[in-house]
Amino acid sequence: MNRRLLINKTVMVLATGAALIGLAVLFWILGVLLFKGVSSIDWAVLTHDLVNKGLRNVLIGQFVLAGVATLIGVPLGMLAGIYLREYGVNSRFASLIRNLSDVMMSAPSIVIGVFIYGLLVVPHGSYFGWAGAVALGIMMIPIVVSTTDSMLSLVPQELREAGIALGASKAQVITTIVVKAAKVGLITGILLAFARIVGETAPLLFTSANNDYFTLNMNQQFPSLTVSIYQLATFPDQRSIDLAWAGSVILTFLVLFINITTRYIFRQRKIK
Amino acid sequence: MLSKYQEALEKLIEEVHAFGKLDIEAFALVFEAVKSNDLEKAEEARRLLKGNHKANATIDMNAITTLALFAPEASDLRRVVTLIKIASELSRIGDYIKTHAKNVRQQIVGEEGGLPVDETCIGFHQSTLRALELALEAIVEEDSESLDRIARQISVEESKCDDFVSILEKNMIGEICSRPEQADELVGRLHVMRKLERVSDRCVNIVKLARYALEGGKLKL
Amino acid sequence: MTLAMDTKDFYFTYAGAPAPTLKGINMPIYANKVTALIGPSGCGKSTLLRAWNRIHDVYPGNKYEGEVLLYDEQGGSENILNYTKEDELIKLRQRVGMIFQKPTPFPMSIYDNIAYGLRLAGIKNRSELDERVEKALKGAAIWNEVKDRLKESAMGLSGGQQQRLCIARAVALKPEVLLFDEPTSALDPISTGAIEELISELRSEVTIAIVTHNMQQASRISDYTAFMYLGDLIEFDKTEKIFVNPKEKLTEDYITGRFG
Repeated sequence: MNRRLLINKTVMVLATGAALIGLAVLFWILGVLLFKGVSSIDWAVLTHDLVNKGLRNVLIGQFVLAGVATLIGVPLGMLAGIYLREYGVNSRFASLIRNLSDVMMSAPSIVIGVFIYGLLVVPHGSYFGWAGAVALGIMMIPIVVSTTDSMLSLVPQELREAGIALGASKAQVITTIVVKAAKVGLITGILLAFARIVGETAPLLFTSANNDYFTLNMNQQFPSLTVSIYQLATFPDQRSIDLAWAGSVILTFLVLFINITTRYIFRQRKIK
Repeated sequence: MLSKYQEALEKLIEEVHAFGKLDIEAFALVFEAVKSNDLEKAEEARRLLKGNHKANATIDMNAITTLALFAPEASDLRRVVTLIKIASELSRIGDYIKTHAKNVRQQIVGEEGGLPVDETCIGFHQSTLRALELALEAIVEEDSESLDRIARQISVEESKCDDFVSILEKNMIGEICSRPEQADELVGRLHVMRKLERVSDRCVNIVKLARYALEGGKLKL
Repeated sequence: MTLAMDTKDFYFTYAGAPAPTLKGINMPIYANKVTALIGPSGCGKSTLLRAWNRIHDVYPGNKYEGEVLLYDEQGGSENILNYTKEDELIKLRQRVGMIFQKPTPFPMSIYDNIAYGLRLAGIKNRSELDERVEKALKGAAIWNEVKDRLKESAMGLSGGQQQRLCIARAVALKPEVLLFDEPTSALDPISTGAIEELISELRSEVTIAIVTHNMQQASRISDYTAFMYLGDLIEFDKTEKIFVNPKEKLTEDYITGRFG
C-alpha cells in the first residue's frame, strides 16, 4: 500500500516538475524579449520606416502580406474543408485529400518559399509582394482545411437532417445552417491560421524579400517584419540589433495577443 | 391530465351514474306500486332493470380499456377501480329491486290485500329511496366536505332502515302466529324485506367507495 | 376511413448491409389519426418512419423495394419510392414533415427558424410570413412564451420549448403528414405532457405517425398502433385492441414487459 502511494507521489512530482520547467522556459523567453526589446521601443520606431531605423513600414507590410494571404488561403481552405466534411465524408478520395493536407501542414516552410521562387519569382524576374502573399496563403490552406473539417464535424447530424426534412437542398443546408452553426469555430480557425503565418520568415525570404521603404505596391519587393528581424540581427551595429529585439517583442506579443483573445472568445461562446 | 383521459373518465362516471339512476327509477316505481297496489308499475320496474347485468359488463369493459390505455395512478387509479366496484354494487341492488318487484306483483295478484301498507312499510321504502339518492350523489361528488355530509346522512337512513325492518319482522311474526297456514308465504315475504334492507347497506358501501377514491387511506367495506 | 399513406410489401436495405432491415411491411396510415410504431430496439420502427419522407437518401447506397403510396386530397396517390430528382424529394418533404428526437433549433432567431421552410417554399412577402409564423407558433402552443422575443436566438429556449419550436417550424409548411421520431425521449415529464397534448390536438389538421419506445405514451395518444419486431410488422390494429386484447403472443409479451 505504501509503495503505491510512493509511486503516486513520485509520478505527480515528476509531472509537475516537467510542467514547471516548460513554463519556466516560456517565461524566460518572454522575459528576455521584454527586457531586451521594450527599452528599444520608442515613438521613433513606430513612426519611421526601416530606412530611417524604424519599423513602421515593415509592421504594416507584414499585416498586408498576411491579409492578402488570408484572402487567398481561406476561401480555398474553407471550400476544401466543406467538401471533405459535407460531400466526401466516406469517400476514399476525401480521405486521401485529408491525409495529404495533414502532411502539407508539416511541410518545411522554406521549401514552400523555394517552390514559389521557382514558380513565380523567376518568371517575374525579381522579388515581389504577391509571391510572398501566395507563399503564406499556401501555408494557410492545410490549417484552414483542418479546422474547417473539425468544426463542421462538431455540428450535430440532426441539424442537417432537420434542414433536409424541411425541403432544403444539400447546398442550402450547408450554407444557411451548418456554416452558421459552426461560425464561431470557423472564425477561430481562420484567426489562428492568421496568427500562425503572420510570424513566418522562410516563405518570404526569396519571394517578397524586404523593402527599406514604405510601399503598398505588391509588384515589387515588399516590407516584412520577420525578414527584417532576420536581416537586422546579422548587422554589427548596436542600433540594428536593438531594432531586431524591438521587432521580436512586437511580433511575439502581437501573435500572443491574437492567440489568447481568439481562444478566450471561443471558450466564452462555448460556455454560452 | 391528458384530455383524452379526462374524456374517458367523465364518460365512465356518466355511465355509472346512469346505471344508478336506473335503480332509483325502478325503485320509485315499485314504491308507487306498493302504495297504490298498481300492477303495471311493478311490471315496468322489472322491465327497466331487465338488462342490468349486461350494462354492468359494458361498464367493466370500458373501465378496463381506460386502465389499459391510460395506466392511471394514485387518485385517478382509485377513481377508476372504485367505479368498477360501485357498478357491481348497483347491479346487486338492481337484483334486489327486481326480486322485490316480483314479490309485490305476486302479492297484488294473490288473494291477500298485499303487504300491510302501514307507516312502517312506507317509511322503510322512503328511507331506502333516500339512501339510493344519496349514493348517487356521492358517485359524482368531488368535494370532501359534501361527501362527509352525505356519509352522515346515509348512515342515518341506513339505521332507520334497520329499525323499520325490525318492526316489520315483529309484525310479520305476529301474522305468522295468527295465520300459520300461510307461514310459507309469509316467511318468503320476510326474506324479501330483509333483502331490501341490504339495498341501504350497499348504498353505504357506495359512499364509502366514493370517499376512498377521493381521500385515499384504507378501503374498508 | 381515408388513407393518408399506404405501405405495400416494403423492403429496405441499408448501404452495405447483407440483409434487408425491413422485410415486407404492409401498413396503412389513416388520415387525421395518430398511428404509433412500437417495438424493442432494433426492430426497424425508426427505419420505417424515416423511409416515409425519404430522409435515408441523405446517405447514399440504400435500397428500396415495394411501394409507399402518398395520397392527396383528391384521393390520387403516388409511389414516393419512385422519386429520383432532388426537387421531387423537396416537394415530398414539404408534404411529409419530420420532428426528431433531439430538438434541432437552427442557429438563428425564433422568427427565422419558423420562416426557414416558408422562405424555401418561395414565400417572400413580409406580412404573409409574419402571419404564417404567428399561426404556426400558436398552433404549437408556444406563441405566448415567445411573442415578445421573436428576434432573439432560438438557442436560448429550454428543451421543451425548442421541441415545440421544431414542431411549429414543421407545421408552418402545412404538411399533410407529420412524422415524430421519439419526440419526447430527451425531455422532462412536464414538457413531455405538453407535447403529447399538442400532438393530440394537431390530429385534426394533420395525419401523425409517431415512433416511441414508451408504451404508455403510445397507449395514451394514438388511435392505431403497429408493433414491430426484428424488421417485421407483427400486429397492426386499433390501440384499444392492442393494449387490452392483442392477437399475437409476441405483442402481448412485449406489452406486458416480458421482453425488450
